[in-house]
Amino acid sequence: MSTTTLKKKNSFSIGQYSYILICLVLFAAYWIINGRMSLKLFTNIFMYHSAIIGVLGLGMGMIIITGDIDLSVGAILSCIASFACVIFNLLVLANVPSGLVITITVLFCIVGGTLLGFVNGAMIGKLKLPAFIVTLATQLIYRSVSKYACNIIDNSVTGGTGSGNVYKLLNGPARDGMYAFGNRDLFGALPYIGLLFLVIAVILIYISTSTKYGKRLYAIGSNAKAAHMAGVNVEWNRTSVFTITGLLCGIGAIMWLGQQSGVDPSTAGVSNEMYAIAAVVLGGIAMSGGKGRMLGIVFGTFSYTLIDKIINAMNVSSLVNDSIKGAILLVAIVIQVLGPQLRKKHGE
Amino acid sequence: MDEILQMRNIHKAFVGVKVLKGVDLTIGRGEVHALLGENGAGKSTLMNILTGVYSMDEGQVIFDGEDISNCSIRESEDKGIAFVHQELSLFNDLKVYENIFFNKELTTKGGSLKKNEMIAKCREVFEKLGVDIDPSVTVEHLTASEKQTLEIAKAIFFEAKLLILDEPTTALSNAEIDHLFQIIENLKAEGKSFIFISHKMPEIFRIADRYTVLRNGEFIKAGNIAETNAQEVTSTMVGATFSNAEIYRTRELGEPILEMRALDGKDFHDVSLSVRRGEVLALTGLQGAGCSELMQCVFGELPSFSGTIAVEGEELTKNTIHLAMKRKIAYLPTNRRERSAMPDLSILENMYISEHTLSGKKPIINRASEIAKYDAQKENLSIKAEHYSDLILSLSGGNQQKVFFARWLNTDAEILLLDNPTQGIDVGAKAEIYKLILKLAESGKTIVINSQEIPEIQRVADRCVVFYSGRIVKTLPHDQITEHTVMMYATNAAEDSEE
Repeated sequence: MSTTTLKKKNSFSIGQYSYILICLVLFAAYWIINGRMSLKLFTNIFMYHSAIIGVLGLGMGMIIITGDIDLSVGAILSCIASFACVIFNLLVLANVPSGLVITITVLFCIVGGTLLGFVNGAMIGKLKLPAFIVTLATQLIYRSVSKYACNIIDNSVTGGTGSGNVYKLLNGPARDGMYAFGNRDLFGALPYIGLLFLVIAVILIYISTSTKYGKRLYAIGSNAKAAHMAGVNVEWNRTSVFTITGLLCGIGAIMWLGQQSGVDPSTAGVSNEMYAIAAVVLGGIAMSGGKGRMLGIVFGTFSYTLIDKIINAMNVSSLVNDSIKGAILLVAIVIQVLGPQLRKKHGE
Repeated sequence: MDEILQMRNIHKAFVGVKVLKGVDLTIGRGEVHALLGENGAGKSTLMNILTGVYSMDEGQVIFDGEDISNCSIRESEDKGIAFVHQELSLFNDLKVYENIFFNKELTTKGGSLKKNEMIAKCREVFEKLGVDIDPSVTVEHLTASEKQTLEIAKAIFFEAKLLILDEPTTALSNAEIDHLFQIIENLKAEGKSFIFISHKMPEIFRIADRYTVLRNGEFIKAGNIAETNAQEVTSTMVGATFSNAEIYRTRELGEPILEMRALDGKDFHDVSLSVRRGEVLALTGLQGAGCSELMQCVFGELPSFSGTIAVEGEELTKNTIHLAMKRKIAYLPTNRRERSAMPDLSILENMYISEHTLSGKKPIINRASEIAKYDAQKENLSIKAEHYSDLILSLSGGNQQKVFFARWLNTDAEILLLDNPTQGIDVGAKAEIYKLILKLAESGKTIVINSQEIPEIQRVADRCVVFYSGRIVKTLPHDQITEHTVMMYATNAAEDSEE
């Protein structure tokens, strides 16, 4: 019976790296449709536009590896970015030196994101509530709080104008600093936020492949009961992945503020949890947990951005955008789920 | 002979590994045919080919005079082949008649269900089978044996000619087995045929007419049950490797290492036990006697209400797995697939995971040293595995269990709590596990084993503690452990219980 699954885990097969193949195909398709390619365009796609979804996707990927899901990543990003904006503006209004303004804002994003992630994690890990419902609820709460706050906080502090319910970083050297981080390139070619994304990716790939903590996450996703019986502290590890994801959302919020110099709480990060899940699925990580590589998420994110760019380049109505993304996601999951089944049936 | 089924020269390979190498199986009409072989011999694969779950690479299947080679699951059902699975495939939340008519409901033209007609038809069949089940009761309220008979009734209902019974008696009591066998006899008289898969020799000799033995995917032998005996069949099954030799030796035991005093929990009461270093202590009792729960409590998985657990004279202050592990206690759970195996992880990862929870201060995995440790354990436990990066499920049950032994030995545990360690492992591998247990005891490890198989206890245990409904009723030294004595105390039939 058990001899039916004589499969090497680490032996090389093209199926294991299909996420790279998908990415290459999409890149070729984009090149053809767009008709030209340049270094600027290349780094624009793979670094500037992939950074935020990529960072959220890396957190989402860790959570999915443990067999859970987080629907609140977009809302955490939006909420943290909103309040970071308020703090930034208050500091600017109090004439705090711009270096300190940026430092405090960045610290706030990191600590705040971690905290919101920890709230999710504690409820899911410690209280053993279902992740889907918990993060759906916190998604609603976090987003509503940032929208409501925008409404009641004075425009001079939110930075918004007229009746517009948006947060804006107040002009000045501090804002210019944030803007430079979000929009400038190292050596004139490598966007800073893209570099930050890749650095985070390298760290998380290392954690997932080479640390005891990383292997525990796979163990929990593969069989949580067995992991518990083997001595793994399932409660704490579950809590920790949601907390790390919260931290990554905080970093996403910094990137967002840098890129946009402000945040509209009713649109910022909307559907980003779905885009992050899309990047994870395109990266070949199994939704059932326990399987997949963090490296896949990097390519999954690239693929996701490429799809976005291809749709834009084809000049179709932006309203069809999500239908096409949805369809591509379906194809990806069909390949992921049905591929192994077909191979099994034919006894490959 | 009038044959209902002929499977000829069946070949099947998975990923290049040959699982069936030219197997023949012939079943006569109206006979009970025992299909025998150790786990991994190819029985399941053969049955899955017959019922259309797998396709075969070569060979021919003739059923009731018709060639049904490589049919689909649906086609094989329609032809009259019914697979009564080991894990029952009933819907617990549906009613009995809904289960029987599942996907084959009787409906009016408008599509609404004819409930009364279905219930009446169920009653008819149940009466014919001599089954006393109310068709309109929910399945979750049925006993294991009622579920079993329901599965058979389901097959009969749709005119199955050949029923495959995969380990049908596992969850049944003796009286229930009698009833099941009575039903089989009745159906046999009507001309139904059975393929009977079981590891229990007495049952096979009671119910089967003919037998076929498979070993390592090869056809070994077929014949009449009346012309053979259990010893012969067993040695045909396991081949040359089987040895029933006595391996137990008395050993010098050390000082007490694990002590429980007046330990009380949900399923065990007032348990006081002292286990000595190097001892093999067996816990036994009927299903639900509390042995497994006691072990899980010592391991920190289940809470204790009162009483103390001490390791090397020092009390365990908290009831957590982590503390138990730090105090060198290991627990090998029952139900390997659900509670030990992480199916997406490699053999190596499955092995090192537990030790890592103790050495969290060094967060980075040193691959070379992990592989060296694995190689040492592989040698030590004679694990038969190709490569450490293969998935754990690529191993046979016995070798998987050895990897989980390695998982715990790797933590330097001194006290090994083994909960039903030979469950679902075939005869040959069981003998190896026994040898391993004694080898570990000899090297100074302390072993507590929970088992309901008395021959198993006889072979390894220095002492046997018999439980009855959560309390210790008797402690037997090695030479007093006999099937008869243990059963007497386990059923609380003895007069001189310690209570």
